[in-house]
This record gives sequence, C-alpha cells and structure tokens, in this order.
Amino acid sequence: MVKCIIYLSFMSLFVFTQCTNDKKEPIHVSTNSLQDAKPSNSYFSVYENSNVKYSYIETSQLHDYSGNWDFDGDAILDRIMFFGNNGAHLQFSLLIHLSSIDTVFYFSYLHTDMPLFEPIDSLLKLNKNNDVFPKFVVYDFNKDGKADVYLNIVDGENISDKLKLIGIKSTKIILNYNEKRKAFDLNDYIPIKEQ
Amino acid sequence: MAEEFWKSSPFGEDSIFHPSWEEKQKLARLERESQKNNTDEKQKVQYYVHPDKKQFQNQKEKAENQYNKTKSEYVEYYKKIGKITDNSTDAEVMNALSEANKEELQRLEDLKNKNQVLLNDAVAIESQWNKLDGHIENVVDDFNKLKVFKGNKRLNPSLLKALMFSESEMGAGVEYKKLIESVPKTNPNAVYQLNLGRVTDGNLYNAVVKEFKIPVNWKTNYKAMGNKNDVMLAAGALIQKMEYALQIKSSHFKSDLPWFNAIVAYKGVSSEGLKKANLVWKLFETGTHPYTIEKKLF
Repeated sequence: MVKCIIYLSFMSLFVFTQCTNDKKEPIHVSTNSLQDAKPSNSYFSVYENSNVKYSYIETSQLHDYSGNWDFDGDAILDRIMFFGNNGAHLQFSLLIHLSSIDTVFYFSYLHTDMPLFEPIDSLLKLNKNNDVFPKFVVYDFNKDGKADVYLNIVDGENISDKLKLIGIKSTKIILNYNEKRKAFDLNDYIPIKEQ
Repeated sequence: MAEEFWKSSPFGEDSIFHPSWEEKQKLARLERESQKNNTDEKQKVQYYVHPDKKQFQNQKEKAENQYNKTKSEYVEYYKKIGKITDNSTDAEVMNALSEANKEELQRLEDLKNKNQVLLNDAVAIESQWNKLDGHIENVVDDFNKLKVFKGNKRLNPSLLKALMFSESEMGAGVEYKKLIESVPKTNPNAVYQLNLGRVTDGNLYNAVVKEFKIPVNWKTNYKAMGNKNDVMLAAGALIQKMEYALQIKSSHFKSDLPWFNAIVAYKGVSSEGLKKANLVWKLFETGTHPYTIEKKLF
C-alpha cells in the first residue's frame, strides 16, 4: 500500500513536471525512413506527417500521446502515456492524467508491447475473429461526448486475475471516464458496426 | 541399540535394507549431478513433444480401421446378393453401394482425413518447436565460454528454449503469427521486434547485437521464421538481464537462482514479470506448457 502511494506520488510528480514544462522538447528518436532507421521503440516516423501529437522518451521508455484527446469532457486535452517496464520483451502500461480533477490514473495491469495508436477505422474494418486487432484506439464508443480508450492487451497469455475480478472476460478492453465515480469504468470491447 | 544391530548385521550399513539407504542414494545422485555440472561439456537441449500428436495418431488409425472394416463388410454383403463379384473394380463396387452406404463411407473417410490434417499440423508444430535446438545448444555453449560461465553457473540451453517458447512458441504461436502478418504493414520500423525471443526493447536489442556481434539484418530477419540470429538475440539479452539482475535488489528475485532472476528481468521486474518467469521455470523443470497448464511437452 505504502509502495503504491509512493509510486503514484512519483508518477503524479512526473506528470506534473511534464505538464508544467511544455516548452521543453521531448527527446525524439527520429526514424525517418526504414533505410536509415535503427531498432527503436519510437513510433515517430508513423505520426510525423499526421495530426497525432506524439513523442517517445527513450530514457523513461515513455510513449507520450498527450494533447490529443479529452477523456473527461472539460474541453481540455488530457495527458495519456504508456510507460515501459524495462523488460527485454518490453511491456508498456497505461497512464492517464485528467485535467478536470488533476488526477493520475496508472493502470499497471493494463499493458501492451506495442501501444501504437490506430484510427477507429482499424476496428470498424474487422469482421472475423481471427483478424488482427489494433492495440490502441481512442474513440467515443459510448457516445457520451467524451473520448474513450480501447486497449488490446493480448500478449500470448490469459487475462490477469485482477481483470477477471472486475468482470473482464476478454483481452480487448474499453476504458471510459465515469464522472460520478471520478474513475474509469473498464468493460469488454463489444464490436461496433460501421455507421 | 539400532546402530549396534546394523554394525553386527550380515547386511551391513550400506545395504539396501538400512534405513539410511535412500538418503545415501539421493546424496550419491546429487554428487554425480554436481560432478556432471562442473564439466564444461556442451549441454543438450530438451526436445518438446506435441501433447496432442499421439491422440491424433490414435484417432486417425481408429478412423482408418473403421473405414476399412465397414467397406469390407459392405463388399461382402454386395457380393452375397450378387451385385458385385471378386473381379469387380473399385469404381464398380462404389457404384453398387446404396446411397446410405456411400454416405457412411464418405463420413468415415472425412473423419480419417480430418484426423490426418490434425496430425500433420501437430507434426509441423512440433518440428517448429524443435527446429532451433542445434543452434540453441551451440549458441549457449559459445556464449557460456565467451562470458566464462562455468559449471552450474552456466546458462542452460533448455532454459533458453523454455524462455523463447514462452515468447513465441518458436514462431508457431497463434499470436506471434498474427504479429508477423500485421507489424510489417502497420509499423515496418518495428519488424526487429519479431525475433522469436521477442527482444523488443530497441536499446537492449542494439546493445546485444553490439556485444555479441550478431550478424542480423533487423529489417528482413523475421522472414526466416527463426534462425541462429534469433537464438543469439535471446541468449544475449538473457545474459545481459542476468548481469543487470545481479546489480539490483528486488523482492521478486531468488537469492540462489541468478538465471531465474534473469528471466524475471527479461519479462520485466514486477509481480507480472515474476508470474511469467514462474511459468518459464515450470516449463524448464517439468515440461508444463506455460499457457495451457494441463499440457506437458516432455
């Protein structure tokens, strides 16, 4: 418990530092083309010509997608990041900071080895169970006007006991912010039809 | 009193009847194993057997027998009623059969073919699981020598195999196959992550390639579906993680098992990493499949 509080305090401090240090340029590992690229976990080359804000901080193993989406509906774009666990098979856990309540939500048990953001079309076009599902999508799944997170946490294993305890049955999860609880609700992803 | 008895007994204290016999045998076995571990001979890697192969083989044979038996019964019957003779060709026999008999034979043939397909798949998967065994033995032996790991401090090739199996089933895993399909399209810069040991940390990957001089082309290596470079990457990363684990303290580590700690560090030092490391260790020691625990691979 104490460890958890210390860890969350550290994370809050880290995010706070990041939030108040907007002028500081994040360290990009530029992978402009496959020809001159070197193995790196950065997705910079994927998003460099898109309108997705993205940076990767090599030293912290951090994918930062902050400033793209509003999860709590206060019209301020929130912070969302994925932290690496320093494994050889690197797993990244989800962290969201909500501006309306100035709170960090760190989901250490929600991790994926490739938190590559893909547009909603990547989910809509799927029609078979054996299709390759995207790992990370942001979209208003429940149509409440706020962005929700879709995460595919499969990495060759069964889902964790912690997720089973809260009723999660699959590895594809939707997180949506519940204003009453001031927390995120986690639910199994139910395929949506193209509109 | 008892000691006196055994001293004067015609069987003696070293006999099989002495209460300490089992203990002595155990000690002797440990001594032998310890001596064996202290030699630096190349270690053998554990072969994995597909747990369903035997069952598919039995089912296929059963279906074959049933098909042959039913067909010969039909032939006998149709001969008796004079619709065919001993000289009838196979096509004439099939033409003579009633629709119901034809359908039954077709059902049995389908069953036979279905089991043959299952058996072929199991054989192919087993072959994939074991195809890197020679490389694993050689690479582990080379790296142990390079790093001067001796005796029971050496990396065991079967542990490396268990680790690689837990990551990708040596390329036969369902999730791994999906990655091979999707990653080159969605993120070509990440194809290096498709190595069979799933060394996905870019920095570690580069460090291992540099230290162990691995001649890998990260842009194309994944197309081989497993080769010596994959083994070198996994072995090198595991060694670097073992060295890393020696420098840090964690409640997830075991003081007397540096290679176990290396697996924890490979998976990520956390309760989740520990859980995964336990599965690898169980596979290494008992042959239990890491994700289908009721299946044994040896």
